[in-house]
Amino acid sequence: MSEPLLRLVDVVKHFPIRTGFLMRQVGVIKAVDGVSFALHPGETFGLVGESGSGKTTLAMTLLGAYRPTAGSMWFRGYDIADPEVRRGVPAIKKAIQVVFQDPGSSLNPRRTVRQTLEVPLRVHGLAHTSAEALRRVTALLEMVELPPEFMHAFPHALSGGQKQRVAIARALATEPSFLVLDEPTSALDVSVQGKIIALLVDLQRRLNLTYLFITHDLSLMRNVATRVAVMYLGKLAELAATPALFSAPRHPYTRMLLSAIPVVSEEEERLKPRWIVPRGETPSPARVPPGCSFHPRCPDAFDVCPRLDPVAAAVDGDHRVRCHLYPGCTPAEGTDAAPARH
Amino acid sequence: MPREMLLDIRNLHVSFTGYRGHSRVLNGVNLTVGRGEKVGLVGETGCGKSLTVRAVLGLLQPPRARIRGEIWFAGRNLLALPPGELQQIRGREIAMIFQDPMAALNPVFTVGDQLLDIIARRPGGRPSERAAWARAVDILKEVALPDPERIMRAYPVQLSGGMRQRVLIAMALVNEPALVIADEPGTALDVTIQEQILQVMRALVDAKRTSVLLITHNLGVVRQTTDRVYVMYAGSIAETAPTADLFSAPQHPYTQGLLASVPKLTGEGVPRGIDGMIPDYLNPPPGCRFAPRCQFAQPRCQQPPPWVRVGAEHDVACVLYDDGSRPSAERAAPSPIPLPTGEGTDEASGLPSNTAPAVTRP
Amino acid sequence: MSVVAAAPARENLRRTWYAFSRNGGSLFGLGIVVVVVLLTAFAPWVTPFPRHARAFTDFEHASLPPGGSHLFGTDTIGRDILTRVVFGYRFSLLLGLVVLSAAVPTGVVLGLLAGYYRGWPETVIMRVTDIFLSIPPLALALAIMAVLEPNLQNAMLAVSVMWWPWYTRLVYGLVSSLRNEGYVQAAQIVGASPAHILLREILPNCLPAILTKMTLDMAFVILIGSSLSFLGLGVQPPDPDLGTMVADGAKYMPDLWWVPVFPGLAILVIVLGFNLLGDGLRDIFGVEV
Repeated sequence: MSEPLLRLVDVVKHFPIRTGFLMRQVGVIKAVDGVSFALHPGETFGLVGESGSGKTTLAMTLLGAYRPTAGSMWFRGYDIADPEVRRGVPAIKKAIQVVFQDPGSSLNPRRTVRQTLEVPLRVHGLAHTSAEALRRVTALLEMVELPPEFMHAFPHALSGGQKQRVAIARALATEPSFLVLDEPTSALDVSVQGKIIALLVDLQRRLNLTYLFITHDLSLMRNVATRVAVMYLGKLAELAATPALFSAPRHPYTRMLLSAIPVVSEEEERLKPRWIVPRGETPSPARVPPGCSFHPRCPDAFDVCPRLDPVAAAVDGDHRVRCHLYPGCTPAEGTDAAPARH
Repeated sequence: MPREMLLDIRNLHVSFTGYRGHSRVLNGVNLTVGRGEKVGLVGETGCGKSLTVRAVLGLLQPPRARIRGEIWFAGRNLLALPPGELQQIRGREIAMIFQDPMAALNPVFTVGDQLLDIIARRPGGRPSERAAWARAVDILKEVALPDPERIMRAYPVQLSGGMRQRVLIAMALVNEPALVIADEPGTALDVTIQEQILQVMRALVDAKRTSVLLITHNLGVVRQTTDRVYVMYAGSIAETAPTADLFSAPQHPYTQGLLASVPKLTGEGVPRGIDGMIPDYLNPPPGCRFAPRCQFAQPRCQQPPPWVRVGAEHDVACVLYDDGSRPSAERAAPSPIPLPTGEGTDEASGLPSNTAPAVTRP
Repeated sequence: MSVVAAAPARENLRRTWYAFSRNGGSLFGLGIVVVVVLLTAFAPWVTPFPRHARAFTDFEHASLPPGGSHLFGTDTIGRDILTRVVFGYRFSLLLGLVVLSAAVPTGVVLGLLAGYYRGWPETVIMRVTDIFLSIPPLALALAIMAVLEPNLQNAMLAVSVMWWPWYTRLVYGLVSSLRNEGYVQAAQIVGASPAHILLREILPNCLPAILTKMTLDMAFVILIGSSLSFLGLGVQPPDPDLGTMVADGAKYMPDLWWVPVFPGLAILVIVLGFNLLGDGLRDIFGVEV
């Protein structure tokens, strides 16, 4: 297997909860709590999880919007967890870009498409004259299959799909190698979604891009990702190649998620695990249950689960799961408790 | 039709005059909901679903909105009722479940205050305080909320998203309305919670024989929740059928396209979707409004499409079916729309195809 | 496809004007403001007795009731009140413009900084703002005027000093929410400078709210300025100021009612005009100020 493009090692992002006049810290939100995985060049790595799972925090940490509390993120030999490294090497900012969920909010309503697309070009010195910028903007629009006239448009004149194409063009302006796609189609109609996905797949092939694809739509994930990681309360519950994850889910949480997907045909209905009645809702990441954080909702929980936090182990080749039901996941008694990193 | 009709929308037209001119949005909507029936109304953003609901609820204000047609509810034409009476019906006989529970709940009152307030308005007189409280606790139990007494005293911010959505369902159903209109219920929630919410709602309306009109763009949710479905496109109904039939044998090219657009768990890749976009309501195409995006379009589509019965309770607004014949097995095949790689297909069974589908990009 | 209008900026303007012109009240307000501005701009040519605007006495025509060549009558020393009202508007508008052009940029810049840079800049700026906002505006202005010599310049200074915090708070609130918009985050991720983000991405989206508040504030500032003059702390005689004229004329009520009433009505009209215009802007921009 090739050298990974990005390798996360035990990435932690905790937010302190402060209150009162003196801003005393009274608690901590464990948004991301020890996540490790590697992304290979050219792949589409899927990240699923419900609200509060920490998937967006993880993405924003990767993008440099948050400084991780602990852990390292290796990208082309640099540890981009260190903000000094990010500041010192502008190539990192160029190489990692993002497409957000809501095309309505991701474009400035008071700036034309051209003005929006010129920002990354100017910031990174990719266009010095306006003629050069114009040429680049035209090329970017062509890349996302929009005619050049669109550069004069304000966002309100564009449809949701067109706005998302512009957002993709902006992400591509710095010639990145890695794109974070944070629910790129979930605000779009299903008849439009397919074209945006097709565009992303096509761009990935032509420009050799690597994607971190975040979505809560599991049916979509089934069709776009090469591998999928399932996140629950700041930790990965399961990580596997897409077909394996969907056909043989191991973690009870993954099974619960899959069993709840609303599908449109009998054929798909048969592919879903037996319906598992979810118990309760995801707790707040400010009050993570002890032991395995999923145990209060888990249909298969047993005596170890509330006491010990499982560790990840491989169950079948690259298929990794973090659940006491599987051998190798239960740490030796007494070694676990609350890991002491803050 | 054997079933007793509760809601019967007949030839509803709604248009607006705005800065850019006159837009004709609803273009003759016909829709019925029988007593005890759960009906889905699906369509994409801007197809007129929410506008239809707002017309039923009397929330469209003339003269800005021009309304034509009839909306019969339990024997009365809502469009001809004085505002006072409409207000009565709206609170007591038609209830609404909104998409965003936080926006629909008042943050400064407890759940109990808001629930008791609704119970006090129930038809047939104000119940005693004790009876009202008992009724409120009961309905919270019915939506499977744990510890209802505590929830009665809680403020909306103290509840989780799923609990708030359950409270909204309780508020909608507590006075046992004849019709509940649910606008994308639970879509703001996670998939596991959404499924629970829909199950609770289903169980409750079935027990009380409440009629439901479910508005959503999520085809999977419609399939799991409803008895019959209307598919709406650009201001009119394209197709209606019992839910199972619609999903197994969609007839209208739009329905077929929509269903084919949904990514499947079977993992065959993401379908291309439907080319083109919803027409501009200022200047909609004459005749069938789907024609510019339809690969089966033909000259006859310039006229308003016929409303053709193709099966039991299965009607479709499309010229492809107006030769009087029942749909052939070929036509009834689930997915004549080409999948990702598909080129113009011959599944149109020799029908002349004069259109190069407009290459407007989404 | 022709979704892309040839001249989107002009198209926006036309759309805005359409929405604005649907509201009778705001059109009326705009009418008042335009008429008053034109009158004051051309005051020496459109008023019947421009010389009456300053020190001037004509006891032969003193205390004439409205009518004839003096539409609003004359005051106790024979000056045409209509002329003095129009010239009085000059001071009102001048006060409003000067105060806002001093207070708005200050307030906006501080608000942008406080909203964008969390931590100590936010704390310092917003606490100082809170202190200013907790003092009743007229009381603060009076306190300042008590120390300084009463004249127009000092009145402007006093009112400006108490006005900027409102803009700091307005902009601070807007920035706090706009900084979470996708386009701001995207600009940050792309590596754009804070100056670009604040001035190009955030500020333009604050302008509708700022413009609306400025329009509404013209009315407030004029009212406060007139109040100061009424108390003898603003524009000094013989310069005509609406507040001073009301104060002087009040002595002759009710016999010479026209001396204070017309300047008073003039204040009412311009305040109403700016308020209606501001309300109209608020509606079309959909902003909360």
